[in-house]
Amino acid sequence: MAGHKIKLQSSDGDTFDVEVEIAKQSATIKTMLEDLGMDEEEDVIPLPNVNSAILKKVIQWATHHKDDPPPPEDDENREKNTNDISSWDQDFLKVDQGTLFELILAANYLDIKGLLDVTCKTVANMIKGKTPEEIRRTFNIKNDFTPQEEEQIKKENEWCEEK
Amino acid sequence: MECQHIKLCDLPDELLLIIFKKLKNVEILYSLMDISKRLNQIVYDPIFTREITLMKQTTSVKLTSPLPDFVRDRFCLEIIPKIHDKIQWLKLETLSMERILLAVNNYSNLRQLDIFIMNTETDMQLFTNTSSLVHIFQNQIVTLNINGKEDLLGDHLEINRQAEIFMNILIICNKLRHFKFYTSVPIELHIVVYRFDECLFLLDGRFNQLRILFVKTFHILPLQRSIINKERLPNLKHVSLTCESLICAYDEVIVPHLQRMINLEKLALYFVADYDDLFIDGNNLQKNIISHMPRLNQFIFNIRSMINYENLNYFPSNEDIHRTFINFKDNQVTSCVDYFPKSKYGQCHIYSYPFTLTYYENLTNNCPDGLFNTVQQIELFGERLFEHEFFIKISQSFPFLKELTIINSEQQKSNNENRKYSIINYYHLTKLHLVHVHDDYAEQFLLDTKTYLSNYIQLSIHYDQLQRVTEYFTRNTTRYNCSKVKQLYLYGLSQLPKQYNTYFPYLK
Repeated sequence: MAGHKIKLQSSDGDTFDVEVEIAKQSATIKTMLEDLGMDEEEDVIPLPNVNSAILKKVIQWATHHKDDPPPPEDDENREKNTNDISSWDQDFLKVDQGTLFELILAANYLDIKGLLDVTCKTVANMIKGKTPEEIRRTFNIKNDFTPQEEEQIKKENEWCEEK
Repeated sequence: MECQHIKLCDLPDELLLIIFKKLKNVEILYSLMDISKRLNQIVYDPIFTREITLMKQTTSVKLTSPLPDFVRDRFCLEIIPKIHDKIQWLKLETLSMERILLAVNNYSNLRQLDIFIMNTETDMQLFTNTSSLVHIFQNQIVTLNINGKEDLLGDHLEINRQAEIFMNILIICNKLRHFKFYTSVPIELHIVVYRFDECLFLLDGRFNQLRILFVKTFHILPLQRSIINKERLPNLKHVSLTCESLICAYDEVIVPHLQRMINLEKLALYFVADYDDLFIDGNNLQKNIISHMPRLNQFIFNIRSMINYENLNYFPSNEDIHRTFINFKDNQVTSCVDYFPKSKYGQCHIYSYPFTLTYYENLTNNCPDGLFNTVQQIELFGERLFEHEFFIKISQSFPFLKELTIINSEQQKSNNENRKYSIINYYHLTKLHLVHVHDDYAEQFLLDTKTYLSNYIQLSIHYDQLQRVTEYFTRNTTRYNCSKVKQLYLYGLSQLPKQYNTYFPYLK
């Protein structure tokens, strides 16, 4: 049985009908619904920071995860593990880097803890084990150290090697 | 769907932090340091540089291994030199430990080490005082966690090696406050605790390897009988217990714990006990302690028991107490019994010969004969007067006396300025406390006709008394000894009036 629905509007004007329970995985939307008392199907929630392509992906993710238990609270002391991404999520996140970072921005704006967690873990896995040069190439990061600064770094390293 | 226009570095710092926090600090520093100025700002943050694990660890500790060489090289050559002053906690395995800890001259803020021992046989040298790391262990490390492969515990040699490492760490690490060792191997342990119950974990069975235990404590407080473990401690061979303050729990705490140590061969007890109705004498020690330790062959003790007059039904003499030690193996026990009617208590001091403590408290006219070479600190207490001859005996029996406290308000009988006294020389005395004394004892130490102070001293005295004894800082016979006063603690006045400074020319 389909649940009560609301309309989400992307930054480029597209609207999406989404079940309230799925949309409420976003703490931002949940707060809006509660604060504004929006319960009419005709009410539209504008999401000016998310374009329609990304919003579609977010809704796809939230629909798949609608029955998940709430994610655990953050714990700094918990063993760090980036290898616990489900195979569905891994397939879902086989996207170009731009989309991945847009998803991170959207998950953060919409406050969807599970999506933020899995997207950030995916980027972390792309970083893991790479040398600085490989990181620069992978993420297209410009080396902005001046030649003098580069020289200084080299000198420091030589001094350590001689020691 | 293509969104190529957004890159990693377009994400705000807060999101980069969330991503980076998914990684271990070693992974972040290895991959992200010196990529760009902005990333450097983030990865230099203390959350990534305060604590670093520089070894490969899995859930099975047995599989702990060093980092790959190229990662370790990058840390030693490029990363640690830039962040060494930010590192507070390093987690290392012993194959790389020396190289990493010596990668820079100084880890100025390093306070904690977690060390995984890969091979006790080869790693032992890392924990000796000839180790190249000794300066770090000695001067910096406050918290130390040692781990290793526990499945080697069946090996006797392995146990001995672990015990040696444990011992060396305790000796070397002067600043250690928290120490966790992966096996229960300590053979000999010296521990100082504020309350005796803080060290009871040593006696709950988990330190079964322990053979020698020295405990120095400030308080022994009554415990609930139910929490005293009754399991025997058959491996303990040598125990020493010293308590610095008066205890009221000899029967409740000390005796039950000692009775568990059934194979003890050597025991040393040093304490003062407020006791019920009978003094702690030879009979008491025989019944409560010695009879439970058939292998005991050396029993050293220095015990003072004090009983309130109201509880004393019987006033044993010194001879009565001494007779209770007739059956002691070497019988070299000294006893001194004193009664203080004004203070309403009795005191029985028993000690095995030789006297080994550096202090002697509540010493009275009933001072035993002998030479007390170890004693540097004495508290003389009396309800009967101390004559000049008594102080001669003190100076001769305690030739290394440094600090003397006198508590006596009884007037001397023979204090007479016209009498000729032999002058007593206290060769090592540097502190003199005369706060609760009759004027006669202040004169005893300040008159140069009675006492010669060799050293500059610290004097504690009531101002009024000092005025009287020095005749308002004019008396010639107190002038010399007052000139030896370097520090003056006055009671009844905060500071000596300036006009009298010439009487104390060396006063600081």
